[in-house]
Amino acid sequence: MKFLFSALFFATLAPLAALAQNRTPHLSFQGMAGHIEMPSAFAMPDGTLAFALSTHAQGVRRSSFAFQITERLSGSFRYAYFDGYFDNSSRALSLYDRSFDLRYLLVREDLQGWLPAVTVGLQDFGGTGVFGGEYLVASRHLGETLEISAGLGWGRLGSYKGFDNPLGFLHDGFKTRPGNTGGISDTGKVDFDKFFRGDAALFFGVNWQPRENLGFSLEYSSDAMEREVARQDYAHRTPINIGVNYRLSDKTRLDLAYLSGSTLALGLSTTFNARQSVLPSGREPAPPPVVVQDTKAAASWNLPEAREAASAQLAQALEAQGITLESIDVAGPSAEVSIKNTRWLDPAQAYGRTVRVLSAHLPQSVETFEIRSEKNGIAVAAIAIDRTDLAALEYAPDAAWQTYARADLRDAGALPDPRANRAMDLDLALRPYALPAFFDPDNPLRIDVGAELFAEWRPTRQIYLSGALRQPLLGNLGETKRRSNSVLEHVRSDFALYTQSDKAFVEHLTLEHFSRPAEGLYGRVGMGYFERMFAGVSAELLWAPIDRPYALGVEVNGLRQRDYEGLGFLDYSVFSGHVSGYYDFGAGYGGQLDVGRYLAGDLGATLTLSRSFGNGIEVGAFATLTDVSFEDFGEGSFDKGFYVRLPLSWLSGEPTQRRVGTTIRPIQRDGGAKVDIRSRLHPLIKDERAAAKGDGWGRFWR
Amino acid sequence: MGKVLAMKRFFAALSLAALAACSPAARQGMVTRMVGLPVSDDAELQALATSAPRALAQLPKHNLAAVVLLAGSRDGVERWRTAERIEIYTRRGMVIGTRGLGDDLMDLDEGGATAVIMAHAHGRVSRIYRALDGEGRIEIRAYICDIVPQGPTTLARDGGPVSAFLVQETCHGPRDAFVNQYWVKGGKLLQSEQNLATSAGPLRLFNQP
Repeated sequence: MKFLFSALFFATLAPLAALAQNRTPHLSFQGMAGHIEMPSAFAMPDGTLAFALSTHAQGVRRSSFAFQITERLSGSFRYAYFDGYFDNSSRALSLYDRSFDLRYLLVREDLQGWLPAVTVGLQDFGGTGVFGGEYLVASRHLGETLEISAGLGWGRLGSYKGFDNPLGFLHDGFKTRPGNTGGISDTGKVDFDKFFRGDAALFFGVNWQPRENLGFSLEYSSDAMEREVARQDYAHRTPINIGVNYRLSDKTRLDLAYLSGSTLALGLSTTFNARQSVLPSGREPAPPPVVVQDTKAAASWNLPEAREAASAQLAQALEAQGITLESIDVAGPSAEVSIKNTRWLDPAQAYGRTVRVLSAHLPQSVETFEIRSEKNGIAVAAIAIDRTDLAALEYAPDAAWQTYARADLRDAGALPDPRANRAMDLDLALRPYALPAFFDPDNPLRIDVGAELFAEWRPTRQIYLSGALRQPLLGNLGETKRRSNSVLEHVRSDFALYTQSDKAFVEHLTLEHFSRPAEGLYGRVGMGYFERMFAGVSAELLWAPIDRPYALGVEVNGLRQRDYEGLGFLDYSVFSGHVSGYYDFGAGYGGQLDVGRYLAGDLGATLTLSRSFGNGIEVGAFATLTDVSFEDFGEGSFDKGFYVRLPLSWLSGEPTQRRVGTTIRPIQRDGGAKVDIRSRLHPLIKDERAAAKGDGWGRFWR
Repeated sequence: MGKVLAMKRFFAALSLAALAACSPAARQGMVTRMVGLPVSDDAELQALATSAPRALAQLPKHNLAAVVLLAGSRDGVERWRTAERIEIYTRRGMVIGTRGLGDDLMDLDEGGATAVIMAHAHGRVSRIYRALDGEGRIEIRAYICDIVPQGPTTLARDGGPVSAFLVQETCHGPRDAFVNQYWVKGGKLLQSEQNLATSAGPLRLFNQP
C-alpha cells in the first residue's frame, strides 16, 4: 500500500474536469452533503472541515462538525438540544444529545457519463439514537445549477411511508428493527444490530443554484418526525420541505427552510479546507542571503581573542531568525551547531534560516555545517550540508528537493552528545489560558480564562525543571453542580471539584530528564505534578528509527491523585502504563495503539487514528475499550472523542509554533483515562522526525 | 430562559470561532505598504537607502506597489528588497523568485526564455514554476510559452522617451494562461510584466535606464 507519495512533493497538475468535482456540495441541516434534512451522495473536497448550526422552531438546536476524512469517507459529530424532550412542561428535562455520523462514497459521479454518485451513510450510530438512521442515496449534477438525489432510508429515515425492507430477501432478520432498550447506560454503544433493519422508505431532493449566492432546495422527506410529533408538539403536515439559501461569503452560507408544512428552521454553515491556505508561503520577511565571502564577523572567528564576541554576534543573528543557539563547535572544515527552533512550524525552515546565518558568520574555511535541532535537549537528526551546495542551490530551480537530496542526514542518537557551552537560561512567560468544558446539560459550554505564569529552567542540557501557575480570572467552571455518579474510582469525573475555587493553582510542576540512549532510542524520566489531577513519577522509552514509518514505546507511571486544591494528595494512587505502537500510513494518515493499564486500574487498549496536513493542521479520533463494562462506565459506555489542532501560523500567516486545539469527548468519565503528560516523546519528536523524512523541505529556502 | 440564552451564546461563540478562520483580513496579507522608505533600524536598509540602484515593483492584481532596492547580487542573481524585507530575485531581469508575498514563487526554471528574449527572437520554451500549496508542499506549475518579438517601441520615462524593443511571451498551462511582456534595451530589461504563476498574479518591474 505504499504509494509513490514522496513525503515532499505532489505534482498537482489538476486537469480541469476534476475541478467540478471539487466544488463543495450543498450541506443539509445535518451538516453534511444534502438538501434540507435529507442527505445527498456527494462528498466534500478531501480535507474539508464543515461547521453548521441550526435552530428549528419546535425547539431543536443543532451544531455539527464534519470532516472529509478521505476522498470517500467522511464523519461528523453532532450536538443537539431538544427542548422539553422528556417532559413538555419543564425545560429541565430537555435532551442534550451527542452523536456521530459516518458516510462513504461508494461510486463517484461520472460527470462525462451518466453514472450518479452513490453514498451509504450511518446517521447517529451510537449515542442515544434520536437521529438514528441509515441510508443509501444516489445523486447527480444536472448542468451547472442542479443537484438531484434519490435515496432509500432506514430507521428515522425510513419512518414516513415505510415499506417492507428490500434487504429482507437476504435475511428475515432485516425486516424488523430492534427498538432502543433504553436506559442511560445504553448510550454510546454502536448499535450494529440495528443497521439497515426495519422498514425502508424513499426520499428525494433537489438543490437549485440559479445564482452564485442564491439557491433553493426542495425535498420529499422520508422522516416522519415521530419523536418530535410525540414530544414537542410538532405538526408533520407534509413530507415536502422547502428551503432557500444565501451565500454570505465564499465559505459561509445561511439557510432558511420550512419543514413539514409547519415549522421554520434557520441554519448557518461554514466550511474550510485543511488542504488550502490563504497565505501558503507565510508573511515572514525574506531570509538573509547565503554569503560566499568572508565577512568581518566571519573573519574574526579565527582570532581567539575575538571568538567570544563573534560567537555572541552569531547567537544574536540567529535569535533574529527565531533560532536559539544552544552550542557550536568548530573543528577545522566543519561546524557542529545545536539549535532550538522557537519560531518556525517546519523544522526545515529553521535549518534553512540557520545555514544562511552560519554562511555569513563562519569563515569560508568552514565547509560543512552540521545542525541539530533540539527540543527538550534532544535532537532527532543531525543534518549536514556543504557550503558549496548551499551557494549553488540558493537560486536554483527545484532547490528544496536538491538540498534535501544532498544533505547528509543521520540519527542524532548515534552521535556523541554535543558539548554544552552556553549558560542555561531561565525562560519565563506570562500568558493567558482558557479551559473549556463541554456538554454539561446545565450549560453546554463553560469556560474559565485566566493568567498563567510559565517557567522553565535547564540546569544542565537535558534536565528540565518546568512549572505553570494559573490564576483563574473569570469564568463559570465553578458553577458546575452535577457530581459524578461513577462507580469507578473518580479519576476524571470529579473534574468539577477541581474548579470550584478561584485561588491560584499549580497546573504542573515537573523535573524531567530527556536522553538519546542510542540510535533510534529516546528516553524520558520525570517526577512531579504532571497535571491538575495527578502527580508522581513517570518513565518512557521510545524506539523510533529515523527512516521508518513505525515506532514502539513503553511508558510506566506511579501516580497519586492530587487534592482538589493546593499541593496535597487524595488517598488514591495507581500504577499505570502502556505499550504503544505508532504507524505512519503515508499521505498524512497515522495510527496509534496503546495497550495497558489506565488510571482507574482498568486494562484495555486505545486506538487513535489521525490525519495531519502539511500545514500543521491535525484531526484525529480515538476510542478506548477496557475491561470496565459498559454498565460500570456509565453514560457513554466507553471513552471516545476527537480532536482538532490548528497552527496559528495557518490562521494568520505570521510565523509561530503555537497551535490551538481542542479535544472533544461526548462525555468524560473514568474508564480508559490516561495521565496527561505534556512532554510525551512521540508527539515531541513527531515534527522533527517528519522533517528527517523530507516533510516540509519546501520551506527550507523560505 | 437562561438555558436558551446559554445555548444561543454557545452557538454564537462556535460560529464566530469558525468564521474567524476565514476572515478577509488574512487575504490582505500580501504587500501592504506603499511606496516609500520609512525610517527603520534595519541596518542593511539604511546602508542602501541613499545610493543603491532602485526599481519600482507593482502587483496590479492587488493594486500594490513598492520601491525595491538592489540589496545584493551573487552568481548572476540580483536580490531586490522592499523596506519591510519583501524580496524579489531576478536573473538578467527575469524574476526567478520572491519572498514575503504570502504566496511566493519559490523558484523558476525559465527553460531558456531569457536568451530568446534578449536576442529578440522567436521561440518556444517550457517554464517550470515552483510554489507552495496549501499544505506547504512544493507544487509544480508547468507552462509552455511562445515568445514572439513585437518590434521597437518607446517608453515614457521621467527623463524623456526611451526606445526599447518589445517582446511578448504567451504561456499556457493546464489551469490557466498568461502573457508576459518585456521591454529590452541593450541586453537588459528596462521594463517587464511577468506573471508569477501564484495568486500574486503579474509583477511589473520598472528599472532605471
